[in-house]
Amino acid sequence: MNAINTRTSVAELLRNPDTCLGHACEDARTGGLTAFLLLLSLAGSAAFGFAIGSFAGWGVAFLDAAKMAGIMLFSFALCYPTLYVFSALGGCKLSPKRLLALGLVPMAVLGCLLAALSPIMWLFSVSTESVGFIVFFSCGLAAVAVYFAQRPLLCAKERGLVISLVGMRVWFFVLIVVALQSVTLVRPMLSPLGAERTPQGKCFFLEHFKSAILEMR
Amino acid sequence: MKRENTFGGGLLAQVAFVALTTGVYGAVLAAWRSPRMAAYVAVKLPMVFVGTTFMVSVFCWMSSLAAGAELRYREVLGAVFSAMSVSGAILLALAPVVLFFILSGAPDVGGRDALRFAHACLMLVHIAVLGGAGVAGNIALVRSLRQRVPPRCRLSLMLVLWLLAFALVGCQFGWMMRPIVGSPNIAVEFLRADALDSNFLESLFGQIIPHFINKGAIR
Repeated sequence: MNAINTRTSVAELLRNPDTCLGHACEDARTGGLTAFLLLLSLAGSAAFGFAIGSFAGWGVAFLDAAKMAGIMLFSFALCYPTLYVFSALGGCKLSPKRLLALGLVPMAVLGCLLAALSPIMWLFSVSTESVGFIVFFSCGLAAVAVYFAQRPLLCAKERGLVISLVGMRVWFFVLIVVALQSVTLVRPMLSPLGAERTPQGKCFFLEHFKSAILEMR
Repeated sequence: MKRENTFGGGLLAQVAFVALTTGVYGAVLAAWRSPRMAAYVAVKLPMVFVGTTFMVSVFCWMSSLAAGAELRYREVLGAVFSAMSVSGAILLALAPVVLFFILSGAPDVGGRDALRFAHACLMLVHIAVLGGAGVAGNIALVRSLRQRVPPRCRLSLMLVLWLLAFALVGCQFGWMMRPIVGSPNIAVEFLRADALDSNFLESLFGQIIPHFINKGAIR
């Protein structure tokens, strides 16, 4: 862990994700780095979930923290085969283990940025009663984090890991869409514990987010 | 022999891979309707893909000779199935994601309009996935053929002919194999009773296009 702490600190990850990609693809052992990136990703998303859930009280905040971390983990696990195939089509020759570390770099950046945005999210969560506003605002903040999170993938081409970035970009898009659908799957995230307003039945995330935002008064 | 190894080699394995991947995606495609429908489409979709390829393969080979590509029949099959393997890999990679959306997002109970809306959404998702996989496969085909054919070959003409042949036969084969996605208001069956009564061109020009014209501003 010492090696990881010195070489792959959070600051280095954000300032120079290119180096982190290099460690993921070239170091002899990537297990520690993989665990570090996964931890960053889960902790950051849990912090953001906590901030969103603060809208409906402490109980929901802790529940949403667990849900958000679970969503990140589930989405990445579901999309990992897609990453493997799409990166291979883009000319990537990394082993599944190294690709796991590579895929976790944007996830870790996403987690860091979500954690950084959590205080802002929390401030607005505890100071409004509009569900629509919280949905709209959290989507906006998450979009900022997503924008920065996809940037490390661009370094993959510069480092010669892939010939084409199209597959990686498609993978990242699929990952975000799956995450949004997962949020819909584990709804409600903003209802107080024990409240009767529990949405039932299946629905696509666009429909769910639309109905949530329409509640904005 | 060297040429066969680079282009037509492992043909059986490629055919098996295409059949497997399209079978898996076929099962996902119809999973929303019912497990029986999923089993049917897992059989039918590989039949459409592999059957179409073999049906047009002789034409593709002859048109490649006419265009000056100097490809053997086995090489043509190898090139096409290599490209389809790329598409198949993409379908396989996206199958868990699409299945997740079907299981978590598409309602299987509800009113007629709600089911029709869900069916339309799923159709769009499948069209996007199959279309994207098809485009990726065709890009792979063009790249591999560009390296293989002599400079004097009219590659663009050849590819247009291949695509037209595939589109024509594939659409008709798919039309005969209906239902594929499984409309929520029509019974589950392997083949429809009227499977051989008409072709997709008759339906396209006789029903679908007139329907849009009559519903639109042209009326």
